[in-house]
Amino acid sequence: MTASAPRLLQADTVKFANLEMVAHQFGTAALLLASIYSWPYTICKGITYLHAIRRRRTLLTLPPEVLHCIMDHLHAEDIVKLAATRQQLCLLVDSDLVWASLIFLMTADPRATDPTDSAVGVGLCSCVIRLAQPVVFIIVPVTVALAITFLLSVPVPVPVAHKLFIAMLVKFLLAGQLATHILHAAKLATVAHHLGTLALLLASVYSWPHTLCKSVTYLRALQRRRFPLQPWPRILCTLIALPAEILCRVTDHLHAEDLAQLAATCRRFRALVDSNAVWASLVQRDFATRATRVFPASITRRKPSAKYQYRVLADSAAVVGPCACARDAPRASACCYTAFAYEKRTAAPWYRRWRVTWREIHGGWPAVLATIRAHARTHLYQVLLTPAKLAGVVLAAPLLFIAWLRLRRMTAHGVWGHLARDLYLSSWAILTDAAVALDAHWLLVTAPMCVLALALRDADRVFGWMWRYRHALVQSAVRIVVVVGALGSAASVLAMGAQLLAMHGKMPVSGPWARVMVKAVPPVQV
Amino acid sequence: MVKLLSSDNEKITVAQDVAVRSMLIKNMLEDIGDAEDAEIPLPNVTARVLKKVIEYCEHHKNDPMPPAEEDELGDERRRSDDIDEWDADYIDVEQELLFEIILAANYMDIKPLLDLGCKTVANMIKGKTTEEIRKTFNITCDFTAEEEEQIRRENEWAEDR
Repeated sequence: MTASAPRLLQADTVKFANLEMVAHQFGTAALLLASIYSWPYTICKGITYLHAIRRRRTLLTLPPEVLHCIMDHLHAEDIVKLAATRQQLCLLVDSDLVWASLIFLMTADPRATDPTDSAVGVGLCSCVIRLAQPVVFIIVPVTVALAITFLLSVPVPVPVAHKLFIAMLVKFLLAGQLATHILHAAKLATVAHHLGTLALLLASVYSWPHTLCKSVTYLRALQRRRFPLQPWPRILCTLIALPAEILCRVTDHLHAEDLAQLAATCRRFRALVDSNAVWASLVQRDFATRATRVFPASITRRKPSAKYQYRVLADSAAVVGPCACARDAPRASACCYTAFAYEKRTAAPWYRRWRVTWREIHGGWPAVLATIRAHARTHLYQVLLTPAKLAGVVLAAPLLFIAWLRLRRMTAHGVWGHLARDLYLSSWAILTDAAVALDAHWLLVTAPMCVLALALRDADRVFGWMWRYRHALVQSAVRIVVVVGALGSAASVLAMGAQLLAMHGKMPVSGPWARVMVKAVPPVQV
Repeated sequence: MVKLLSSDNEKITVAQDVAVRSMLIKNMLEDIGDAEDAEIPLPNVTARVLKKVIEYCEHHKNDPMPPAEEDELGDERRRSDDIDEWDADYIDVEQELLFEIILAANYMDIKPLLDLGCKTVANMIKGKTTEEIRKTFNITCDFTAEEEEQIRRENEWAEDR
């Protein structure tokens, strides 16, 4: 033994034992990190978006003097288009400062000094309106009316000025609609931008619920997990808080009626008691021999639950085995067991409490009908009345009746009585099963079984009587042995005395009595 | 001698033949060799429960070791009326300590002690009605009246057997 052994235990062993825990924690943490990859992106994107909205420099946020400077460099048609976009710009464009320094891109008459003339020469109706609003709003409608009248009434070629004026009028009419369309398009673009950003944000937070659920599941698993050298979470030490494997060990020591009471206490114990493992353990404990015969391992397809197996085995004194319909109806979701059982606690009349076949049917009505059909075909339509069957039934029926009469009052009995009852019920089961089967050789077993049952019943009574009066029997036996021994000893002494007297001639050796004594006691060699 | 370190950092020294009644300690000692100064941490057992467990191990240190396979125990393990007098006196403690002993026996892998605890709990359940079981173990009924009636009907066959 080395001195470094304790250090090895405390350092390396603990580390190695916790390695699994550390690996598990790292793996889960990596998974969580991978699953929250979109969180920083989402947060950054959201913050950037909010900042962009707040700090966004647009044309509208510029001061008016800057806007005036910008407009000084614009052409009239651009200013008109700009005014049509927003109300704020429209008000700005209305000021005289803007229109006083208009620059026209193309001047129709280079000599014209009036901006209105220049605007008319270019064909900008909006500029004309701005520059000569009083003229426009009063004169234009009249002029339009006159012009239309003139154009309709005079078939001569229209002068160039008139043509220009009509063109301006049309453009003016279209200019309002164009401004409306531009405004709508701008609004739509803004809305589309907002919607797109929101959709991007929503799409990036899709993993948030997954991340939260994963985190909660991880924390719960970590709480439940018990690592070998890590302290477990402190739990309140009550029966219900014990782990399931320990509770299963407790139920291994309980009887079925205790389990029934335990299942009615709370939901956890009900789930525990209804589990297959508990009843499988009880079946092996109480019916280990019969369970393998009644529910053989070959039946795997429709093997009933362990609780059902226990109930069948406990309620039936004799279970012959799986019914033939289980073989013949592979699609029927049922399993019949030829048994002879008596249901104690039921409201059914007495003649229905006894059952010969035990059925477990899963599924709906089609499965039930298929089972009944297969069962009927197997057990009823193929019944052949053979002489062997007839003889077996005739022989066994009166014996069964006598056995029933003798056994029905047997309330308290010992092991021989239990065997007698089992044999009696087994003979019933075999009789009912073999009477409808094709092969009826088992029927011949029922009569000897009944006789044996009757004999065992009487043996049980005899043994029971002997056990009850065992003290008196022992006393009587001892008394008999003592008395017989004393009598024998006295007889021997008497015989020896008689022989001695006869040898010395004091007693005549004659007659039948003297002959018997001489034969019983050998002659003494003196 | 083997030093055991309880969850509340109390060191308890026991003889090796007593300590090896626990399969957990036995396996750990086999891993580290014959270390006399070995200090084995038992982070799930308090000193109070550990002393009680050691008391059981000291009394049963000369008993044959139980078979490793659980199935080999068979029906003998399932009989709950074969508790000897010393064991019955030993396990006659309040419920919280009893359950802690069971948990410690499960953790330290001492099968006879675990069976003793389970048998004791089973004996406390046996023959009691549902209400008595609830009262004994302080179990709160979380069934509705209909559910309780249905459970009784489902398990009626098992009663009065």
